[in-house]
Formats: sequence, C-alpha cells, structure tokens
Amino acid sequence: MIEVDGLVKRFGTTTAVDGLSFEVRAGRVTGFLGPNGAGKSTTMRMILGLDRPTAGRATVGGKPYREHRAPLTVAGALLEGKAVHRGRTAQEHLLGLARTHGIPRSRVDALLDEVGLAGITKRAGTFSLGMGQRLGIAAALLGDPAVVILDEPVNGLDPDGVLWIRTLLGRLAAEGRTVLISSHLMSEMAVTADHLLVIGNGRLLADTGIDALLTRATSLVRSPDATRLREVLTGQGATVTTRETGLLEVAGMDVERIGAVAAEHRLVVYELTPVKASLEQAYMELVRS
Amino acid sequence: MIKVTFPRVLHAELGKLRALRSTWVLFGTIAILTVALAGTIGWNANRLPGASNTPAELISRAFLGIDVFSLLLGAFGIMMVTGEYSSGLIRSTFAAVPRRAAVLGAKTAALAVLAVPVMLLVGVVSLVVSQSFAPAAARLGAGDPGVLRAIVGAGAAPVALALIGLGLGALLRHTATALTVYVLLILVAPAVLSQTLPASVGDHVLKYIPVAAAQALYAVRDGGNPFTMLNPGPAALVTAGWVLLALAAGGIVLWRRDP
Repeated sequence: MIEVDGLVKRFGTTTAVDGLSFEVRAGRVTGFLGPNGAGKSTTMRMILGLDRPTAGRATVGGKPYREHRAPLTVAGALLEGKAVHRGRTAQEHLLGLARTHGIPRSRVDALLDEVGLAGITKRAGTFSLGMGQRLGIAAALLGDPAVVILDEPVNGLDPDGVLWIRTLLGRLAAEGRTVLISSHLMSEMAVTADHLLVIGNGRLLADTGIDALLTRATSLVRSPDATRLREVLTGQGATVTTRETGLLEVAGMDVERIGAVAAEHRLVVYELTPVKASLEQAYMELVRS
Repeated sequence: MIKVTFPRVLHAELGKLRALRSTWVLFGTIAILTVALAGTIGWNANRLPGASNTPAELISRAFLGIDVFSLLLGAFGIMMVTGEYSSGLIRSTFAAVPRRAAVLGAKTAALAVLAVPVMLLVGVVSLVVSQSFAPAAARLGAGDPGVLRAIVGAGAAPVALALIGLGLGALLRHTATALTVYVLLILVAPAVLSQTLPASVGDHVLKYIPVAAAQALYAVRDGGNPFTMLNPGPAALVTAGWVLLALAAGGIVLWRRDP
C-alpha cells in the first residue's frame, strides 16, 4: 500500500509535482499515466525517499520509506536508466544490493534465472536495453517486496519481453502485492493495468478503473428516429451531440445500454458503433483539459 | 534476519570494489610503477662510488613514487562516488540503504581496508628495492629510527588523499569537476602558494596543506629545517582533519541533496 498526501516538489521556480494525493492499493496493477514531464518519475522518487518533497508526505506500508529497517523487503523499484556500473556482471550488481540486507546469494541466482539472465557473465556495459531492463526488474524483486514500483518497465523491451512483463505484473498483483507502473503510453496501460492514476503537469487528473475510463468513450448511433432517440438517451443521463442528420454521438453510456434503451422505446437503430481507440482519446482529453 | 546493518553495507561496498577489474588494474599499476620508480632512483643515486646514502635520502628515494601515485588513488576515491552518480546506480544504492551516511562510511572503510595493505606492501618493497643499490652498511632496517613509522606513513598517506577524493566526489558528484578540484587542491595549490606567498608566511602555512601534511607522514629528516615540515604526530592529526573535513562536507551534501 502506497499513500501519497499533498505531495509537492519544486525545482527552483518550476513545480514538477503540484499537490498530489492518492492511494495505491494492494492486489492490483495500478498504472501511473501521464505525458513525459508530468511528474511521474519525481513522484516515484519521493515515494522511495530519494527526492525530498517540498511539501506533503508519502508512505509505503504505513511509514515513510526511509524509516524501514529492511527497505528492499518493503518496496522494490526499477527507476529510469540503466542504473548499473558498466564493469560489473549482472550477478555482481545484484549481490551488491543483496548484501546490504543479508539477502542470500541463492535468492540472487534464482532471480537471475527468473528474468532470463542466468549464466550470463558479460559485464553490464555490453548489455542491450532489454537485458538492462530485466536486470533492473530482478533488482526490484530482490527483497521479495510487498510493493513493486517500476518506472516505464516496457521501455526498450522486445515483444517477448513486453509479454513477459505483463504476465509478471499480473502474477505479482495476484500474489497480493501493490504494483505501481508508470508509462506515457495509454495503449500499454490498457492491457497491463487494472487501475489508473492519470497525471498532467504534476496534478492528479483521474483516479479511476480502466472500465470507468472507458465509459467516457463515445458511441456513434445511426437512427431514422434520431431526434426522439436523443431525447430518450439524454433523459437517461447520456451526453448526446448530433453529428449530422440521423447520426448521434453518445458519451457517458456504453453500447449495450444504448441498445437496450432504444429497444425499450421501440426505436429503430441502423448502426451502433463504439468509437475505437476511445481509451487513447479519453486520456488525451484528460491531459489536454 | 533480513535488514540493513553497517557491517552488511560494508560487505556490499567491499564486494562492489572487488568485482571491478579496474580496482585490481589500478592497484597493480600503482604497485609496479612505485616500486620501479623507487628502484630506478636508488640505482641512479648509487651509480658512482662514494654516493651519499643518509637515512633521509634513502627514504625519500624509496617513497618518491608514493607521492606521484597518490593522485591515481585519489581519482579512484573520487570515482567510487561519481561513478555511481553517472550511471544512476546511486539511486539503487540509496533505495537499498536510505541512511546515506552509512553508505559514505562504508565506502570510506572499504577503500581503506583494500588500499592500506596494498600500499603498505608497496612501501616495504619500494624501500627494499630502492636501497638494494646502496652499500649494505648504509641500508636501513626496521629498527632504525623513523623507518617503521615512515613505512606506515607511506601506506596511510595515499589512502588519506584518496579519502579526500572520496569526500570531494560526494560533494561534487561529477567525475570531471571533482578530478579538477582534486588536482587543483593537491598539485596546483601547493605549487602556486609556494611561489606567491612570502617565505615568512609560506613557511608557516604550507606545511598544513593536505599534500604537505601527508608527505610528512613518510618522510625522515636529518634534523634540517624544522619549519617547512610538520612532525609525524601533528602531521597525522592535520591529515586526519583534512580527511574528516572532506568526508563531512561530502556527507552533508549527500544527505541534503536529492540524488
């Protein structure tokens, strides 16, 4: 469980994070979504006690991250960039972190195996982006943490790797862990996350389930009784605009409900289409507004 | 039980150093060059029969290289910290060990634990090789006054300078910046000050600067001018003071600034 309360971070005159408050619950994958520069990484660093908030407070598992005696068991993180010394092997890198907590070598080897880096003895300077990412994820899981925080985990991964991450994240959440992943790509979040935190300019724009965001999507309805249908749908709470004669754009109601409402009032419908890429649009709308 | 303790952080930092090839390349290079330089100087001084071989001369010939290669060890100390900043590793390190002072303390101890024995060995071998060219009667033994202390000093002085480098690295974070400041402090400042300060002031001030205090740890004097160099005891205190100052400054910045 991560709790963020009134978090503010200013760098000089620019405000990177501007009064963020949210909770990240255990047992599901929460996507942290926003355009580049929205303050995602800064927020993650503050949660991990790396950056000092200008105001507000972040806690992990009930207290500030830095106050835990075994922080790697509380939260594991993959932060931006290949945070590995070029001259060390993957195993040496993980051992360097594991030894600070007395985590046994067997755990390091098991993780290397799990992320597909077992037996690789070359030094990290020669790693591909994808291998670096896998090593970073192994480092995040080192302490078998209750909270997993990954900044742009799919960056630089090939399709196999992307699939592997999705499966892994789903499993971590199913094990009851708190999983927070950031991305600037809505399409990635749509398939990976169960819940979304959308931020823009350091402010929280939405704290919502993927499904809830989807209902913001629109549908196109073509009907010879468009005027009557429009009244009925508006009466049921939908937002309806007339695109052209006989064509309505309906927001705030899914297609199943629109169809049911039309049938109830015995109105003929020629076409009922959920608008594709609506999640992306919903996101763009949120960020723009 | 899985939790962070200082011995564990030290174990981790020692492991990080030992895992780097560059650590062993550096120690090997310093050892070979220092001993080779000591040998060459010892040989050159005794090419003609009847050369002077006072204890002070023998010691200074043996340990001239210590001075020069302290710079390399200083760069190593700097990069123990700046290397983590440039790769981003420092964030993983501080996420694992949120008490940043413990990280700096462990790096200090790790550097000392690895480098002191190496430099002690280099000091002993340098002296043996260098004075092997002198007549047997003139050679120094461990029992001669100041010899043991000079060898210990030759082990400690370069490590002290390297720890100043470590502190500077934490203070400045960037390899190039920290190296520049280190070279200015260790090499350029003494040269410039000795040329610009009036002798009446310089004699009193220069002996306190880090490199002069460190040199006093492994020098043996013939009772010459006592004003230009500190005695070993005060020199050790002054050197330790510089090391603590650099580490404290670095530690405060680590604690206050976001990595």
